[in-house]
Amino acid sequence: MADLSPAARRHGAGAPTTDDRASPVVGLQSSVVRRFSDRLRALAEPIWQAQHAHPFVRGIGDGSLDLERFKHWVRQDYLFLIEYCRLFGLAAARAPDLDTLARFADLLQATARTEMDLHRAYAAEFGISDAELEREPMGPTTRAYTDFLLRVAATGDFAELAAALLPCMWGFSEIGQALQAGGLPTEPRYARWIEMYADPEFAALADWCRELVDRLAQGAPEDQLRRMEQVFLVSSRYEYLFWDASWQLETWPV
Amino acid sequence: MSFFEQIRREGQPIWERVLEHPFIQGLAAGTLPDEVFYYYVGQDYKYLVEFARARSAGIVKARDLETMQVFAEGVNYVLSGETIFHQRSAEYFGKQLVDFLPGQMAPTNRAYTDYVKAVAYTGTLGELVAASLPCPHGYGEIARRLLARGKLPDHPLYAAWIEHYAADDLRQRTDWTCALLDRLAAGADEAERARMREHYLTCSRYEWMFFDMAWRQEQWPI
Repeated sequence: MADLSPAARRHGAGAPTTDDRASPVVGLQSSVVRRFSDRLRALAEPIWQAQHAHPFVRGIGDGSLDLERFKHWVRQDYLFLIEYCRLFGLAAARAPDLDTLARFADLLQATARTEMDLHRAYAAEFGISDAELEREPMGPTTRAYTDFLLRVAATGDFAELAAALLPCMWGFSEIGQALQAGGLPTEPRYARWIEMYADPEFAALADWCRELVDRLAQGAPEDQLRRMEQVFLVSSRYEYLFWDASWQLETWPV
Repeated sequence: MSFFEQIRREGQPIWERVLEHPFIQGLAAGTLPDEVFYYYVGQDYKYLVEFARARSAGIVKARDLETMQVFAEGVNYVLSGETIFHQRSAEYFGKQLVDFLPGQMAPTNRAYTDYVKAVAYTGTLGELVAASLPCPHGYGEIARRLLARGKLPDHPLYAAWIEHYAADDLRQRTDWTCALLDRLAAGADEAERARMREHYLTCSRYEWMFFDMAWRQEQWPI
């Protein structure tokens, strides 16, 4: 990260330029004007590339993914989604303005109701019953990722909370679109999975989350931007580890 | 006798005094001054937003998905459904709902919402449910008692208030929450049940104080 020139420091890092109020700008010394979320994405590039390249993700894309590994993902993701509801609850509770509060409240309800119903129906297509979903123990990676997210949501500032959420929301949209662009697999259940995450509505949600992070980064002091970067990176790592956990059919070693 | 029934009976004298309060009496008679009600709506809308935050925070502690779902729906109801009445009130006064957002929370409103939020963040789910029950339950009881008197006030807004809070859908929602309270109380130890009772009674008092705050159009003394 280049040092800011004295001129840039006078203007203040993170302050919006007058000619582009729509996207907050950081790094004024750089000739490339970019959003804070783009900066986050660039920092996490190796991790995100590793996700795209992971045999689990590739296996969904070409239909070769072993069903037992995918079923592990379906069962763990169910548990993840429940914790994600708690996260949305905290996000709503701590939202800085009414619009953001209402949006998170809406996401909370959509996840707790619709998303969970869809997930149960989808699981049933693989022969996974509701009872099985409910008695599935949380694997080490699911445990670690969700506890991290909840800890940031409860104790970090709101900007960190938003930055911690972003890799999941944005990453799935990016992966869904990339897999769709590569041609859908013949296995219809994997094809539907891809279509769900490639859906424009999901992309719109990812965009909203990116805009929220950009807005929160606007005018934020350097140390807060650093903290946002750190949680974004940690979440990105956990996203990778989540695929890997299902690839490995991860269980507790003891 | 269920846990909720026990604490409801204990809190009954507080709610009798709510019913007798000049704010409620004035509302029922249609004589409550417009400016008092305007003050009340402005504070109440701010209150509801904070109440929604507290309920959202409480979701973190929900043990099962069904509780999360009902809480989530409750939060959305508070933000969109319940505020239909506030929207109507805003129109009556020639305002928009957002006009009620700025401005200070009065001392009593501040104290009440901070209390509920403190319980949400630091107490158990049972404690939060106990703290957040007086509002919907109490309003439902008061509105139904006023409706039972037979004659709605001539004032369109006050009549709407009574009908809104006496409605069945609100009652069903509240009944579910009371049943949840009983389930949570059954799983709680003596110390937690004592705290739950304390929160219910304190918030019942805060409900009386809220109407009184509005009646006096309370301001910060300094």
